[in-house]
Amino acid sequence: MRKILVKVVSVLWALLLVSLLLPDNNGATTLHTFLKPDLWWLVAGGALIYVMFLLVPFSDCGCTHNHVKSRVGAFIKPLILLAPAPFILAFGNAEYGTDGLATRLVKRNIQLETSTKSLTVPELGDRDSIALTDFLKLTTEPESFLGRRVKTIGMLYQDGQGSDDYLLGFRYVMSCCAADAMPVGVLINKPQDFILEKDAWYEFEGTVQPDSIEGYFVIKMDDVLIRPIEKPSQTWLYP
Amino acid sequence: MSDLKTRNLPFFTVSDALLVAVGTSLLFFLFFPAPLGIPRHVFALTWSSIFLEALSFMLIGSIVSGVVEAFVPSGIIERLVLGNRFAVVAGSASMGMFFPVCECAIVPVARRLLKKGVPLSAGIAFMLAVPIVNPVVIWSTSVAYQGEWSVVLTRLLIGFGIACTAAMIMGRAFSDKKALLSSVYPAKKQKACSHNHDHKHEHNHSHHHDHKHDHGPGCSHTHHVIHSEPHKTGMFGSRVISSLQHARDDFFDVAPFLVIGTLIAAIIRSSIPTSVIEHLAQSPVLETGSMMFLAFALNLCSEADAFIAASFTGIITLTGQMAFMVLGPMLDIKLLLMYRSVFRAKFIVVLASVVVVLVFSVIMFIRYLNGAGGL
Repeated sequence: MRKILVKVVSVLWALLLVSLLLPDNNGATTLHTFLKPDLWWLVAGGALIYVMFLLVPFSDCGCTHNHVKSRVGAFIKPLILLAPAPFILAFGNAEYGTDGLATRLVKRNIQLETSTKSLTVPELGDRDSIALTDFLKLTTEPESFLGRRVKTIGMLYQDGQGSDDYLLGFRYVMSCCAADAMPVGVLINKPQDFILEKDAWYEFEGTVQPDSIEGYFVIKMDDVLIRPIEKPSQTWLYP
Repeated sequence: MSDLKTRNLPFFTVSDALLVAVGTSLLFFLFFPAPLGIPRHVFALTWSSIFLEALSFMLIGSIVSGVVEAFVPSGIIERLVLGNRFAVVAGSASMGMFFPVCECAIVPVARRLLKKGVPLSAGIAFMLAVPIVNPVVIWSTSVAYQGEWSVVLTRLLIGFGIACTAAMIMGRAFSDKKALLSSVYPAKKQKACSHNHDHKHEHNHSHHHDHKHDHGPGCSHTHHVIHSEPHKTGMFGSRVISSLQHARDDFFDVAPFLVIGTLIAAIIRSSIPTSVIEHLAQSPVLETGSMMFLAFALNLCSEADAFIAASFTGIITLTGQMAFMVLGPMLDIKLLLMYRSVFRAKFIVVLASVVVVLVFSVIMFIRYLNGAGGL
């Protein structure tokens, strides 16, 4: 009976891992929800190993293997391996959204005194033809965008304890897997009469300006236009 | 359950009860929108991603473990580990340069090496150092710190030094028998008693079983014996099959610990705000301690943790970030659970304490050398 359970678990996991690698209509895979796409080989390798486990016969010595400590345990131990599977299936298209900010937001600031001295604000550029700006670049290299009009996509968040005038435009950066994802963001001067929908995706366009909050350097977008968009096929950013 | 000799096994154990409890709590998470105040999708995404990544690495580790068992005779390992004790420990700690994997893959391999008779200190050094001292981690740390090689080298040296020191301490403080679970305790040592064993069986792979033998008049009891040298001869194909059988056994032996470890890790990761650290960074002791706690609680892969550590730049000193990057690959919640498939509980408690004390002391010493500002 235990042999059958081990085989069932191996089959189910092999199928699940393969299904994570299959692209949908937009070319995105469910794997992208959980892991960096570069790691597809890791999951493919895992599926292959499960298949190899299936193909190899069990030894027929009939002995009590060291991993079996009780009669009930002989069943439970293989079964517990299935526990994460329903979560992977049910949340294969999930994202942290606003709820994830509470445990992941770190105010990664640069001291105003050392940062703004060398920054000069150039003239506004051409407003008519704006290509989408790399959100990660906007937040990690703000100097290159100061004074320029940029357009980018992300989610929006309004801190209940903060100013009503500002929103935080944010996205998550994944280094390896979703567990290590950290939000990066830019302050947005909230347009009048704008009603925020939680966990919706927006395209926002504005002029990047330096500012300071509590003595820290921040970037903000002024003169902002916001429009809701469909959730993009690729929600994560990768460093 | 016809494939098991279960007559002498208890019906139910404490670990079974734990597994049942885990299953029940998972139902709680699956059907309630925000159990324990944690949004369900945040928990699910965190747990699934930690588990998926660790699972794949562990499968690879299990395959390596099976290959070691089937293709590497104990004689070779014995010859490799002969000689100066520190050289053996240092050599084991450097193995990651040839075997670049993270901490999840290393546990099954270390388990197998210890089973094959590798000295305890060498096994510990291997297990603690490989997730740090390997080319992938060197590369990812270098990328995260934008080519700042002093950070990379510091992480490497501190990790290597602490792994070797902890290994030497643990090797002195514990015998194999007191450190390892009976199922891992090397076969040759178990056989080193002075009486005759009488057991008959033919099989083509290593396993653990019970048998009886006589010690003398009126003395007959059951012993556990592990046979791990049946592969010195045999066709290549049968060795491959044998290695896969071992890999499967090892995987299904350690994997339940991975499930529980990653589950606890995900609950903590989804409930403790990273911003807590900002408030604790006021004093060097608190900062180092809290970064070590964060590394323990977040359970990040050693190949990605440098990116998180680097995100604390401007809030936490570099020494604080270093504490995070050195402790995490050696000790976190899922690892603690996975160590239970190799070591006795008392040994794990002492090992964890030694690692924590060493990391804290070294980081504070570096901090002292460099002034209050850290590195």
